Amino acid sequence: MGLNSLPNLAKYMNSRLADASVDAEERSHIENFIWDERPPQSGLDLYAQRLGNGPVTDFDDWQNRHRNFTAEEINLDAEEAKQPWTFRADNAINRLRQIDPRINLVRVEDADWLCESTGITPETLREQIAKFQQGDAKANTFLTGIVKSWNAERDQRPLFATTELEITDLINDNPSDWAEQLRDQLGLGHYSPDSGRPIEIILMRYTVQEVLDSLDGAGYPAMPTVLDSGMSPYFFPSPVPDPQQAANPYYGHTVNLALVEKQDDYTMGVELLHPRIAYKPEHFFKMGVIARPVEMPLARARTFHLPWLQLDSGRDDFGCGR
Amino acid sequence: MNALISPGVARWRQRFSEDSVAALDAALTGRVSLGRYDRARPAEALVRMLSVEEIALADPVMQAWLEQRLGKPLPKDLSPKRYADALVEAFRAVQLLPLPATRNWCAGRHAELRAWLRGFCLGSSRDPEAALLVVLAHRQSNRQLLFMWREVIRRGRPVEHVRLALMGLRLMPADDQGAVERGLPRVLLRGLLDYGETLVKQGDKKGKPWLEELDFLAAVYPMSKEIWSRRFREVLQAREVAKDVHHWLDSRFSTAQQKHQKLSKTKLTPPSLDDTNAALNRISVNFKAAIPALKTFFDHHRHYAHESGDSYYLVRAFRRLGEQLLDHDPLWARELAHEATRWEPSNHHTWSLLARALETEGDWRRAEAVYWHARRRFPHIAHSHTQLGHALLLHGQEALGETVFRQATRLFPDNPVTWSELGHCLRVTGNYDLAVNVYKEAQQGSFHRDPIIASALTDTLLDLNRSDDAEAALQWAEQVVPDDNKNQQILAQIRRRLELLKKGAPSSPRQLQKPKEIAGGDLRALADITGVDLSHAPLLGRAGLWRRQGHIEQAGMALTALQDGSAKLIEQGLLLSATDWQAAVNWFDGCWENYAGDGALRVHRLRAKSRAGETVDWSWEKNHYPELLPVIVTEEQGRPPRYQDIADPGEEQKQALWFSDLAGEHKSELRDWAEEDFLTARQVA
Repeated sequence: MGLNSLPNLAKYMNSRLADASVDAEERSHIENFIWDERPPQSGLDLYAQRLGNGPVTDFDDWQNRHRNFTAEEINLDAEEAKQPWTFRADNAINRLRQIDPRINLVRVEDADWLCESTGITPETLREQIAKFQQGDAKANTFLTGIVKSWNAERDQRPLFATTELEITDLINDNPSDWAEQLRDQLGLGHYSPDSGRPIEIILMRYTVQEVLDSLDGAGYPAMPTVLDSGMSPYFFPSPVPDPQQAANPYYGHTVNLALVEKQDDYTMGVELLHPRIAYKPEHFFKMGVIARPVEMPLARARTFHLPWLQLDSGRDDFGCGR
Repeated sequence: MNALISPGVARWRQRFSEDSVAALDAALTGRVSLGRYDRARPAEALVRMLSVEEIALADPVMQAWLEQRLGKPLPKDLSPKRYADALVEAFRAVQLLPLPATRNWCAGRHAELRAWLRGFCLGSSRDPEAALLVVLAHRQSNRQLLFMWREVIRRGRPVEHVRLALMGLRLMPADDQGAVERGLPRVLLRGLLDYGETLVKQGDKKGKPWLEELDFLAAVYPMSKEIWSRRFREVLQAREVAKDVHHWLDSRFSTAQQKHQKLSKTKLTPPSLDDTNAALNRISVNFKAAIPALKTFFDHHRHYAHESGDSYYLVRAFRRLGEQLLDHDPLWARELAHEATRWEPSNHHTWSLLARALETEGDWRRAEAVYWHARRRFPHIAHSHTQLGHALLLHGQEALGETVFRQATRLFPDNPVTWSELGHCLRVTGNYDLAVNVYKEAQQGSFHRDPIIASALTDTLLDLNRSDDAEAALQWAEQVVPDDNKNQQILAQIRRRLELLKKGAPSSPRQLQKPKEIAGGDLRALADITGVDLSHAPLLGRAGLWRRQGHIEQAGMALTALQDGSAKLIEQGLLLSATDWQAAVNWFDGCWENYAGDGALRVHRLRAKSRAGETVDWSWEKNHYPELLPVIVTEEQGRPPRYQDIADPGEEQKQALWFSDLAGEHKSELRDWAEEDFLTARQVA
């Protein structure tokens, strides 16, 4: 990333990278910003504006300022007229226009607040989804009521999703820990129940066409960049591939959090961002529980991830600049 | 659990152990890294990382965090969106962790919290009040929030709040001991019907959102159509609903009375209006002896209201008997008025009774606050003005009382009471000539045949010892005063005064006697019905009155004594606007984000811009504050919208009709007053 327009941030990053005591999470955030080649200059300028003046004093200060950007430019209320930055013309270069509208996308959602805010239990929701999938009309009415409440409070933030194609085996095999495996594969490190309280999740499934239709046929998904959401140490930017050696991939690459010891056993996952869609009952796909915390050390996962990414994009130079 | 240690989480937990309030604040406001949970919502992060021991500590800390903020504006170092997010996350955390002590505290302060949170709502995804309602809906240990759920439903918007209120009714325990509700609560059906009626009042003919809620509930409570029909029939037997709602209901469940219909064993019968009349008689015959029966009577009404969710009978009975009790036991009257207001805060009669009961008790400080609040909340009711003016007059604030009456005659020129009260005020303060002028102006205007004005004019002329004029006025009064005991007694008294005057022994003019005043109760005890600190109401009211009279300095001094709040910001802006709209624009631009979700403040800001000649985009305000549309449309189009009369208008519709009439007047001053009063009323409702 060209950090010329972010001199205060660049100064902070350089000083932190020179400090051997910087922890893996902070290092990840800094690397992500340095390595991400995709945000266009206009996005960086906007980011700089929201970041404000004055030196970045520490990591918390950066987080705080980053959240000014996401609050004003990304996590917009559904009734705000403007689109999240991700889907503005400025970011056209990162939009995925070739994607087949017929394929399914799958997204992981936290079920806890949904259930609390609609006064139902996860068991009831699971039951109703099952009934709905068997054609029960009352379950349809029930789920319609649920999504109506849910949609009303959902903002416009870009939604991370994967393709159903990518997780078909896991879904079909249906191992007892499928939810945890999926969490790992999609790099959803924030779905780690360290307190011991299991996390109920819902898989939502819908077509690319529905995503396109959310913006009058132009809701093309986007390659995720560091500017598209809150900061996450589990995010990893995807390089712009060498045109001589690889095609521009139509997805981002998730950091796999499945516990492996060797790089050869490591595989990257698939992610993309798309505009908000209004959920419908037929989008409820599956419910699961995540009870096992993340076990893969962050630094190891990232160390394994980078070479695969370089190979995939034909960019041996990617991620070398620190 | 064999979790990997996230450095960011470890740092935050260390901070939490050292300074838990600061750590929680940083987490909720997003001013700190939460390590692996940085991408999660703060509430979800807290759920995922806090141990059982830390959750126990988080409970009082969260309560302290909310207490520190309650009633205060946006913190200086956060944007409105960030603050709205933080507040939403706080209530999500209360719900998800869960934090029982904070939950109970929220339930006890729900009215204040809701009124305060409304100032920070920036759309349905940034709606702290909605998040609070979720908290309140769960784990209710008794039925103390029934009033609140009904009030949310009766407002009818936003629909997300109505859904949450219906959920609150659904999750409410079966009794005040917290018994689990195993069936379909009657209060939920009543709530649903009330929502339908609200929609009808708002002009909805098709009831789509209502049917969606009904369908959802039908899926939540699987029962045959016959049982659903019967349950609705039972509710409708107690009290009917608007025709349109009935039609909507019939499109799903037949509610027509059937032959040989089985009556439910638990059928509730509403109180009879005859019982109220009998109770009134008992009081007038022997109050002390009637006390046990009255207690039973009130309890019966409470039981019915709690079981059915239908407050219609309670509010009317409490009000009528409360009026009667004012002379016998004003404390009891006050308690009844307070309870009735809790059930129906949009009923101006109950506020009036409450104020008068407090005044009769001698609790002038609280009575004055309630009178002013009622004036702010019900500007469309002439009585709320004249009652305030009268109370101010009695309690030694004659000039202010006169101002209230004078403005009331401008706002309600067709109401004879405003004129007669103004005349009365002038008369009892010794301004007899001015009083005569007022009565004559009224007489020559629309009230040529008004008996009260005719009598009062005669009386005042007697005060001035103008026997010839008084005699002429008496002749006129004799023509227009009805032939009933009360009025004829008044006339007889006037005749006696005239005779005495003619004999050279004029009777003394009427003197005001200052009522007793005692050290009153705590204004905070009324917060459950007001949601705001009522101690501000008199100062705000006075400031507005003085500003309209052109006493800018006096108005400014009243405001300096006020604590910060959006109402104060508005009044300060209006004060500036009295001389310079651009100064008002600058003021509003500098402060509106303190309460960026406050519709009245936002509309005042845009109104000032518009008046200062700027082009204004009203689209956000139009979408988010439909209840303020009358003012927005007036500002946009230069004339108020026209409304059709509807059969049974609610408070909001009555205010809109009043506004439309008043703002349609050609006098720009009246339009301004109408707009200001309307916005205030919507803000405090």
